[in-house]
Amino acid sequence: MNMPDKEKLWVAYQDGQLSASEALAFESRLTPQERAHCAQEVRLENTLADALRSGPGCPAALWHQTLDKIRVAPPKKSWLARPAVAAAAFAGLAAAMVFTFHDAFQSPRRVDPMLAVPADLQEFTQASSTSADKEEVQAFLRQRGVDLKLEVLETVDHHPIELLGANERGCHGQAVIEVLFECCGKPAKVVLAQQDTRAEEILRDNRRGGEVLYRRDIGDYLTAVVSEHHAPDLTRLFALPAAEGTLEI
Amino acid sequence: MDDFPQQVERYKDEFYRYVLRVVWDSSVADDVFSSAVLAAWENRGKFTPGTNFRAWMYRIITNKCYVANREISRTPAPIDDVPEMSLLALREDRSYFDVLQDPETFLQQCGEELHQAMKQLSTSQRTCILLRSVEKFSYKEIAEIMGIPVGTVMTHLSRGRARLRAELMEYAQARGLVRARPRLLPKVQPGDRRAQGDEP
Repeated sequence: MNMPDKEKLWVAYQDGQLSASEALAFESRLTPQERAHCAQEVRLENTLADALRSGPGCPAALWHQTLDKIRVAPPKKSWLARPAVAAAAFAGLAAAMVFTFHDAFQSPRRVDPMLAVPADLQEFTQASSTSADKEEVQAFLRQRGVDLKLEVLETVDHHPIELLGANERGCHGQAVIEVLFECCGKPAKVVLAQQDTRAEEILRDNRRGGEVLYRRDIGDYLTAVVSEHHAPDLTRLFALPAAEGTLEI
Repeated sequence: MDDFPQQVERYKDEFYRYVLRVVWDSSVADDVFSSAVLAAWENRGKFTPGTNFRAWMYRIITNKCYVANREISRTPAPIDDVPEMSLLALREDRSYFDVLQDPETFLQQCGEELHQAMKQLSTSQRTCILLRSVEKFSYKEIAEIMGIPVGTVMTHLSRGRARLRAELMEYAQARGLVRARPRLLPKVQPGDRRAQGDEP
């Protein structure tokens, strides 16, 4: 996460989310003016919360309708547990799909998961194997032999960027690393594939569909930005360590 | 969980208000609320007795709100053009000082603009603010409800709050409710009658 520590502490302090010792330590660093400002901030936030808390409750009619639905809805049971029903439903569904989507069946097109991102940010974030901490992501890359330096900026080409984490994906027997970002509130990832691998070929192949926006070779890796959102070139956040590590932003 | 309807009824008003605030389109709030309660009922076997029922419900409701917002496919004002804001940076703004002096009056003057300003935030920012400031969940609980890391919750909170305040201040400045930035009022010197407004 690229939010400055000072701001994190400031927010957590106002929300009363610091432990007693952390809060005391933070308070001791505040000037009297800052303390007064903090109290005013809390007052404003409480006033905002009160205003947001007001408003109509659940309409009685809606509540009764919902209760009626509950009364007729049994707890969810897997219909697959009933073989006859399941078989009939499958047969019917398959026939309907073939009839309806005949053309689609003629030319099936499956996009490699490496080339796609889920539209749902929550689902996207859950796929991360690490926290959003930059150092943890950097360590994750290092442990997998990826010798690239990650620099996280708050914005790239005026797009707000947040690091969400990283994960590893298998692609034709080889590991591909994905570094996950939130860009303007939308999922975006940078895929790191080793050169001369099948994953690299797939990433370079424009005919495979997917949402590859940019590609860039960095050392032994091909890096590619994948997002449904028109994200900027996030491959620029990666560089070779040491001398070549200058960011191009 | 035989007392499911009673449990939900206890919180139904706050659940409904939350849905109203999170979904872009209030006309779908009824459907979202209803389908969330139904989904919770159908999956009540997955609820672990002794854990926080309210938080469990919020997780389901939040998921339904996200789905609804995605289906409506309505996005707020393009955030690409909006500079990133931070709460700490706002401290430098003199008009923000005016706001902090009397937040109650300021919000009264803003009226319905508060809800318009909330709509300008991303779903994640809005959700975090509502879950923290209104529903008083801890950061950890919010992270579990939304399925995101605690650090991300803090970022959404900080940026969302800063943006909400900036939107409200912009509205207030345009209507002269707070002084515009930079400060336009001349500094009054003792004995300077002109600056004190004695002359037209």
